[in-house]
Amino acid sequence: MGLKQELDRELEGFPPSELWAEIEGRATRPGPTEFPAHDGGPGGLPRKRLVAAVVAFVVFLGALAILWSAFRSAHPRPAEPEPGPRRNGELIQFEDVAGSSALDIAAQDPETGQLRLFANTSAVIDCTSSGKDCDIWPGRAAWSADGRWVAFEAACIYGGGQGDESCRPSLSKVGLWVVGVRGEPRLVAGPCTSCPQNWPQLVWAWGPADAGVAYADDHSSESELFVFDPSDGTRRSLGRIDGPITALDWSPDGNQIALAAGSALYLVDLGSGERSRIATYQGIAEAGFSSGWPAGIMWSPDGTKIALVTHTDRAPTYAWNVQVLDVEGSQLFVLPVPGGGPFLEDPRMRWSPDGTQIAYAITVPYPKRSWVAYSEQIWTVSSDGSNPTMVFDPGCCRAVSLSPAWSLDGSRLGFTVSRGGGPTQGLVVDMGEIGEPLPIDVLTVKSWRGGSFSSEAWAPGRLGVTSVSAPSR
Amino acid sequence: MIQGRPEAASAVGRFPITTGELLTDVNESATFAPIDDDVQHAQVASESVERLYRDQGGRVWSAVFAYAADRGVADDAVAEAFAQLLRRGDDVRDATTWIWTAAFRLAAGELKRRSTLSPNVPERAYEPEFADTRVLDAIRALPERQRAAVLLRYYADRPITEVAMALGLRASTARVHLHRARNRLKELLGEEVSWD
Repeated sequence: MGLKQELDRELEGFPPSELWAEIEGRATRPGPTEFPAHDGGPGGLPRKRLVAAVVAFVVFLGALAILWSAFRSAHPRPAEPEPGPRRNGELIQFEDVAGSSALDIAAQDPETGQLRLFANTSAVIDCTSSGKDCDIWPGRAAWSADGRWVAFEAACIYGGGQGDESCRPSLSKVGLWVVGVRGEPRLVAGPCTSCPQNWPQLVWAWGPADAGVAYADDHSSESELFVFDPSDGTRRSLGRIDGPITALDWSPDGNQIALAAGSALYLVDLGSGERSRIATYQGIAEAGFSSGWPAGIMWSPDGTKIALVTHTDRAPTYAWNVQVLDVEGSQLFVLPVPGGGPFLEDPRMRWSPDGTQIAYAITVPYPKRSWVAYSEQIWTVSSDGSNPTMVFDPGCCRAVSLSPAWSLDGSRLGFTVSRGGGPTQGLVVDMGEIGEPLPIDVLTVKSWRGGSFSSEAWAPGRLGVTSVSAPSR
Repeated sequence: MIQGRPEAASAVGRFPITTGELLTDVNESATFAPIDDDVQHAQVASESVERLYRDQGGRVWSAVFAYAADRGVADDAVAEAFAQLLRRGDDVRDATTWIWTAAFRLAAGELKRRSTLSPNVPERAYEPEFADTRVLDAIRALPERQRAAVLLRYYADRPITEVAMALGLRASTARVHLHRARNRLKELLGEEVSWD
C-alpha cells in the first residue's frame, strides 16, 4: 500500500477550498508595524540598532570562520602515503582520498584540514558483488581510544545515485567493521545477508585502550553482548538478555559495561561476566538516534556516576529525561530544566573531562501571539546537580542545532549552530569567565567531540533517503 | 459522502493572526534573510504566486487538512501562507519550500492556541461517514509532530531538512519522529506500508 496514493484517494472526499480570492484580499491588508518584544520591542529603535550592529559583527566573524572552514574543506592537501594512528585530534572523514572513486576512511587534521588516508574501504567491503552499481554508504564511525583503529558502520546501496527517492536503498552488507592503521579489516557484526527494509539499529561503543569494542547482537527475542578484540579478531560473549539492548557504555576503567535493555539498566562485570540490574526506568534509553551520539548511557569520566538519557513518545508525555545515578543505581538527581518541565528535545549532554560538570542543550519555547517558536540554549550543571548556569542563549528562533563539546582541558565549551539546515557555525565560550561566545572552527569542535563521524543522511529504517547528499566524492 | 463539519468550514479568517508576525520565524528559517520592515512591502509577481497556488495549493491544503483534521484550520493556514507570500515578494527565495513550511507552522500555531484556550476541543473535527479513511485516521492518531513529519516527508515529498525546518527541529530529531511514525503506522494499519 502506497501511503501517498492511498491518502490522495481518501482525501478526494475532502476537496480543497477555493481560497484565491481570500488570499488576494488578505495580501492587501497592511502588515504589522512592530516586532515581538524580544526582537527589539515597540519603540525600541535605538536598541534595535545596537542589537543589529552587534549581530552584524558576530555574523561577520562567523562568516569569516565559515569561509575559512569551507576553504580548508575544499582544498585538502594531498594525502600522505603512510597511514598511521590518530594524531593531533584528527577527525574521521569519508573521502575519495586514494583516487579510487570509493569512499576511503580519511583522517583530517583539525588545525590544517589536511586529509590523509587511513584505510581504503573497498578493501574492507566489496560492494560490487551484487553485480549492480553499488556504493559504500558510511554510517557512524569512531576512533578507538588509542587511535589505532576505526570502527565504522556501513552498507552497500544502489538505486541510481544520491538524493531522495532516487536513492531509496537496496541494502546489502549492512554491518559494523573495524579497520586498523595497517588496513587490517575486521568484520565485527553483520553483515545481514537479507537486509530488511528497515535499517537494523547497531549498538556499540569503544572501550578504553586495548579493551576492544562492545556491541549488541540481536537475536529473535533477545540480545547478546559481545566484546570484540580488533587485534586478533576474537570476540567474547558476555551473555544474553531478553529484548533488544538499546544503549551501552563502558566504565572509564574498562572493567564494566552498562547497558540498557527492557526498561532496566544493567552493569556487566567483564572480569566475572556477572550481570546485575541496578535500576529501572520509564521510556526508552537509546543510542545512536541523536546528533549528540553517543547517547542513552553516558558514564562519567571519573567513574562515579552514570547519566541515563531516556525518552517517551506517547502524547502528551512526549519528552526526554536525564537522570544521573551512582554506580549502585540510586538516583542522585534529574538534570534540571530551568523553568521546570521535561526536555522537549534530546538534551545532548556531555560530561566535562574531569567529570565535575555536565553541559547540555535545552529547547526553549518562545510563545508568540498564537504560535510557539523554539530555540535552544546551552547550560551547565555541577555533577551533583547544583549550580545550573546558562552558557549561551541564541535568542528566539535562531539556532536549531547545538551540541556542546568540552575542550580537552575543560576550560572551554564549544558548540555548533546551524539555522534551518544552513551552514554550521562553531562557537566557543570560555568557562572561566562566561561571556559572549566567539567563533571557532567547526573542525576543532568536532575534534573535541572525539573526532567521530556520523552521516547526516544516516537514519535507521531509512538509509540515505534525505536531502543531504552523501559525503563528497 | 465524507464532509467536514459545517462550523469548521466557516472558520476562514477567524484566527487572531497578526499579518506577517507569525512568519518572521519561518522566513528566517527558510531564507536566512535579515528581517527588515521594508520586506513587508516587497512585491512579487501575483501571477507567479497564483501559478504556485494552482500547482501546489491543493496538495498543501490536503496535507494541512490531514494534519489539523479541520477545514477551518487548513483554509486559514493556507490562505494566510499564500497571502504572506504575495506580500513578501522577492524576499522569499524558494517559494515552494516557504509555502509548505509556512502553512504547517501556521496550522500548528492555531492548534497550539486552541489547545491552550479550550481543553474541550473535540478530538476529531471531521466525521467520516464511511470507514474508508483508515490511512487518514491512522495519521490522525499519531502525535502531532509525528503527524506533521509524515505528511511533509511522505505526502508532500519535502526533504528532511525542510521537515525539520517546518517543525522547528533539528534534522536528526525530525528523523526520530519519522522513524517512530512509520513504526506506529505499521501497527495501526496492520500491514507493510510503502512510503512511495
